[in-house]
Amino acid sequence: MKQLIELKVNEESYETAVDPHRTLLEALRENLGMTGSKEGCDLGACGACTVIIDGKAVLACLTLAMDAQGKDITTIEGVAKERKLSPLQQNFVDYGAIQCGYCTPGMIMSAKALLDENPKPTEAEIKRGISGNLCRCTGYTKIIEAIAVRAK
Amino acid sequence: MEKYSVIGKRLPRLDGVAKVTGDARYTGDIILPRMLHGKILRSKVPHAFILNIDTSKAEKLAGVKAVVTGKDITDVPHGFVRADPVPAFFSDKFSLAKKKVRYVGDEIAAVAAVDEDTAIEALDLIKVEYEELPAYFSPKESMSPGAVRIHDHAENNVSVVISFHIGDVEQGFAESDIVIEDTFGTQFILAAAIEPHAAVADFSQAGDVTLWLSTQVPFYDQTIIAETIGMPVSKVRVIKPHLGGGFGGKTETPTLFPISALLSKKSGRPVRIIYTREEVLATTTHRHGVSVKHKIGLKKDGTIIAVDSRFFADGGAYTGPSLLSMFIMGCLQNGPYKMRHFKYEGIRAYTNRPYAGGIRGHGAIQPRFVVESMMDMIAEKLDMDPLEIRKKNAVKAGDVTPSKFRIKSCGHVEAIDKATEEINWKDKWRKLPDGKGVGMASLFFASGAGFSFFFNNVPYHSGVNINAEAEGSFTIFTGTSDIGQGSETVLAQIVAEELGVGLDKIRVIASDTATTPLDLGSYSSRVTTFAGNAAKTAAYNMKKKLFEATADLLEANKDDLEAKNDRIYVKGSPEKGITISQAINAYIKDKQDALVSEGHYNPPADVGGEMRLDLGEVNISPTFSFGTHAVEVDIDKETGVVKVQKIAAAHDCGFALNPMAVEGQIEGSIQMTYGQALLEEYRIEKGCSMSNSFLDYKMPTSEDMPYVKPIIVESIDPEGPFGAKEASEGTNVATIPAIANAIYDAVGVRMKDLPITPEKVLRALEKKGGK
Amino acid sequence: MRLPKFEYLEAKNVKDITSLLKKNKEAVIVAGGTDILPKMKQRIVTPKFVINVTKIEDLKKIEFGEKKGLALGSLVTLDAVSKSKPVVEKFTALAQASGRVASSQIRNMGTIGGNISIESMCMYYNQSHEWRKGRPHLCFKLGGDRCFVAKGSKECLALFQADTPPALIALGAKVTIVDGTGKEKVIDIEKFYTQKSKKVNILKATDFVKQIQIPTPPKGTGSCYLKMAQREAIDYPVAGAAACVTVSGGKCKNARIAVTAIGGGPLRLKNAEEILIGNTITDELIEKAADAAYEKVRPMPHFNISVWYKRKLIRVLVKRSIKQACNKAV
Repeated sequence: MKQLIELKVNEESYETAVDPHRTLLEALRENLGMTGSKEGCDLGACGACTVIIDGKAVLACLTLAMDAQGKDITTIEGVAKERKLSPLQQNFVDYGAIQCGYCTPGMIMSAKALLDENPKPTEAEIKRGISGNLCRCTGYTKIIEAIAVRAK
Repeated sequence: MEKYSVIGKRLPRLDGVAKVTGDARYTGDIILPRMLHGKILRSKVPHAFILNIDTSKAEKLAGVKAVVTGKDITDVPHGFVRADPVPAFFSDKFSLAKKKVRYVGDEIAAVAAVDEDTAIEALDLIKVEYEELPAYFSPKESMSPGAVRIHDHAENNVSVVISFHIGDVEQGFAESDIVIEDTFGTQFILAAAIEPHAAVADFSQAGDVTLWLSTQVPFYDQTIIAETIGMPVSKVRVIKPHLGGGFGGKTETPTLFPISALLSKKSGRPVRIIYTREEVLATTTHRHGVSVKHKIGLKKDGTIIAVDSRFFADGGAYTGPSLLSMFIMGCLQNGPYKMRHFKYEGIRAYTNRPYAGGIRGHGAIQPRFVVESMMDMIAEKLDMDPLEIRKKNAVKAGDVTPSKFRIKSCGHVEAIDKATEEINWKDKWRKLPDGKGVGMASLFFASGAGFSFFFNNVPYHSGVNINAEAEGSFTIFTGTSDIGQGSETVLAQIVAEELGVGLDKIRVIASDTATTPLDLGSYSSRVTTFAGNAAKTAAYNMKKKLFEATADLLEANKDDLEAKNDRIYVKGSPEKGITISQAINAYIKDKQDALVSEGHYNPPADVGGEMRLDLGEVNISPTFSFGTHAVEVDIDKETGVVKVQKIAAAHDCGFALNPMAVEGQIEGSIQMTYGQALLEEYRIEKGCSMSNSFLDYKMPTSEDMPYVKPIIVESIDPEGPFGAKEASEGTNVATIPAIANAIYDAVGVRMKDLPITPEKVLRALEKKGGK
Repeated sequence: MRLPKFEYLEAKNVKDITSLLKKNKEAVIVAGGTDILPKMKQRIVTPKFVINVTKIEDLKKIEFGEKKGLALGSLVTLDAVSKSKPVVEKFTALAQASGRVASSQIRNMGTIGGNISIESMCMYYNQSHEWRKGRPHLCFKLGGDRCFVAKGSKECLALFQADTPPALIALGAKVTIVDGTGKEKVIDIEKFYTQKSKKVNILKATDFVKQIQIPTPPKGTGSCYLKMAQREAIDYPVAGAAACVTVSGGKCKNARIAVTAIGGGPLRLKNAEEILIGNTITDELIEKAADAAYEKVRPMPHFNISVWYKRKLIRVLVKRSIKQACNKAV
């Protein structure tokens, strides 16, 4: 049976009814219409659904929507403020860190969580920080560059 | 002053902002009012006749709105290579099985329901009665005498045979001073785009359908959907939204496209289907694994005289694009080295397993691994530097290969020099301590398929239309599919350059069969050459019209005008001119007509023509790319682990329209070949897919990838737009043999079977002993 | 892939877990969710009830005192374990093991209690409902009558692949388990494992892991965990080895060595330890210990990795982990 829950996403509260077996990813995409977070593998092995909960990058496809109540959820839709790209997003654009763009939201969320916790990561730390996000287009080179520039 | 203002620049892609904010909408993100969710029931047996499908219980389940089976589609099977004179039996796939299933995963029925949970539940209620047939999981089994035919037309279950002989290899080997022969094997790998295949279909009451599809080829899909459902092509509209990667995996129309349309037709509501990752991995195109026998004869000085190669592929249950795969594996051996005599035989067998087709580097990856390994083996025998033997045999601009490929530009030697310099080859080759080594290999690829193998008759291969807006901006209409490579940005750059305006003045509307002109699609690395030329022509035609409209106003001859910096002016006197906006308005006022232009591209007459795949003498492409990869490796001799320290990848792309994009193509494509060299393998056991998740299918992560140094080589091609040729599929073709050659330099073992796992290296080291 | 339907319950405190587990048959605990939710999506596990325990703050504490040693609440995330200062400094092998699990997201979600309780894995077991429909027989682990890993095997041959257990064994950890009556018992982590692939740990349906304790190692102790996986991230080990060595005056006072991904549980290699203990640490001695490890392990074949290779790998990893542990011990 559906239950009414309140999700705090990108500093706004949303009330929505979900079945208990809904994941946060399904709730975001289907209930709230926030389709920026992607489903790539269903099983937690690609990182396309990465969101930030209470400061940590986590997989929305392996998080129960019920469990996300009362937590601070940031999705890709909440990274640009007042329609202005964050410097990290701008670097992704400027340094060619995007190709097909499907991994990009998850990649940016992982990078953002990394930089929020460690503003000056080494290259190895950057690689470690995004190694849960698979990309088939870029070989990661320009993604790492875009994050490294931000970290300078 | 710089020659160009917009091309040749490291410009960010047009859709960058949409993609970093989550705004970019992919097929699976589309939600339509009253939309249903579709699921496909797949065969659970590898080979069987279908005796009966009972869908009654599923139809009665609350929330189920439509159930379809093979009865609901026409008797027209689909195929990818189907233009005359290709026999019809190469089109052998039904979107929903008619009589027979041929692998575990074959589509049997589909359901549309109010939500996914209900659709999944409904699948379990469909009962299928099979009459099982003997199933064959290897060519050895399927081609053995007495085996049941998987397809009626295929005797001995031979799916494709391509064989040609140019010159006389026997004579060539007799003339050779040295002949070497060896066998190699490659594995199946997957395209593995991160976006799963998806479709949204919306059938109207009036009888036409609009589909949003994750596709590389909207115009092919349009035809296949129309044929499968039995409706005019004009009533099928295919739109490609943002696409989350293709790599060949979205080139052959996946069955969910027609099925979604069918479910929408039957239910009267929009239907969305998104494949699970498991469905993507087990039922969409993967790269052929092959076993190869290869023989090369040479003179003592290293000159290649004759090449004889036999490729044998386990094809799986259907043909897909494999007629091309098997052909290309042969003919792409026609470069980058000269040879006088050339014989090739490519045999593909049907088996009861998921089927193989074309993946990035289509038909080039397998032979290049073989040939470039052989080149190093030869060099060693002749005590030559691997770099020298390649240079010695390199084809040059102006050459015509045995297969009649016309080499119009060639940066191969420059690529060899630059890639090897980057890793300091001279000081390292044969000079590094035990366990460390360097290796190199070259590549060769087509800039687009020069013949239309899908449609019998096409007005053009790529068309681009441009509309001028009075404000001084332009809208490009193109049927090309930007699959992530950035083709829309590059087309916009070409048009902006030609019209002398900034990139901000260009908008691109793409990939909609109803509104954009025909383009054959994003495959065979064709977009830059084909659509790029069409865009350049369209822009040129637009400029001509603007010059004509402006000449009187500027009291100048139209031939003396120039378009630059958003203005049109008299050459040499920029002050004597008007803005583009004024020019457009002048045209509209004068002609009382909209200002539009068109550009079309067809390959030149010396390309394509009738597809004589049997003779092996077809110039397959307007022009060809070259390149060299040089790598440095460290081998852990105790564990067999190969650590690639650096890959220097030099690619002759003719001219880099957008160097940042070219680098991105090089770096990204190498993720796939690095993976194929050392990690990735799609595994099947008795017809059952065993690599069903991204945990089991191991593509490289950011922590796995070595440092890749992209090097752009520009040979300024006479055929390509502004001299550009492909920088997409060819960019990774040399990685695998370069790694294998480096392993040999490091520890003296020759790895001939992919992937080169630590276990295989360790076994080879133990076998070799010593050192 | 969608989760199956279930009823959702939330435990507010430790007592709640016991009472909810007792009241609701066929319940599973969800903490990090990174292991159980994929299995539920694949319908390997289809519980009637899901008990969310993530709101219990008491179980998220890392406590350390020189005398008391380290106490990790079972809900401490792997990320927190790997970055905790006392863990990095004094329990290095554990920091390394938890820091190498899967990916940063999985480490941010997955818990130490979950990681030690991970079931064995197998390419014939960790597959979806759809996949299994094409197979006429079920394997032992799914309640069937055969094993597909080795034809004719009388028992399940799924592989235990968790990273942290060998490190915890090497460090001499103990596990606090709460049983169905609410009673706590503390056991050596070695005893936590059954060495049976079908069910790798001793936890009963109403049991749960509350805490993991590790005594502070004596002066001169170093530890190390080395993992070899096919990929650097998003992967389980092909093999992993942990060593904890106490050295005094060049002599090995104590040593504990354990390996993972070789069978139905993490394996302690006492025969290798015995070679080290009481002797002067030299390269030759370490080689001998590695040889002993090689002799002892009889790994299961696993995916496309042979027994032959795994034994070789174990030898190398044991050797290198001892060396690194010794280096840290000085």
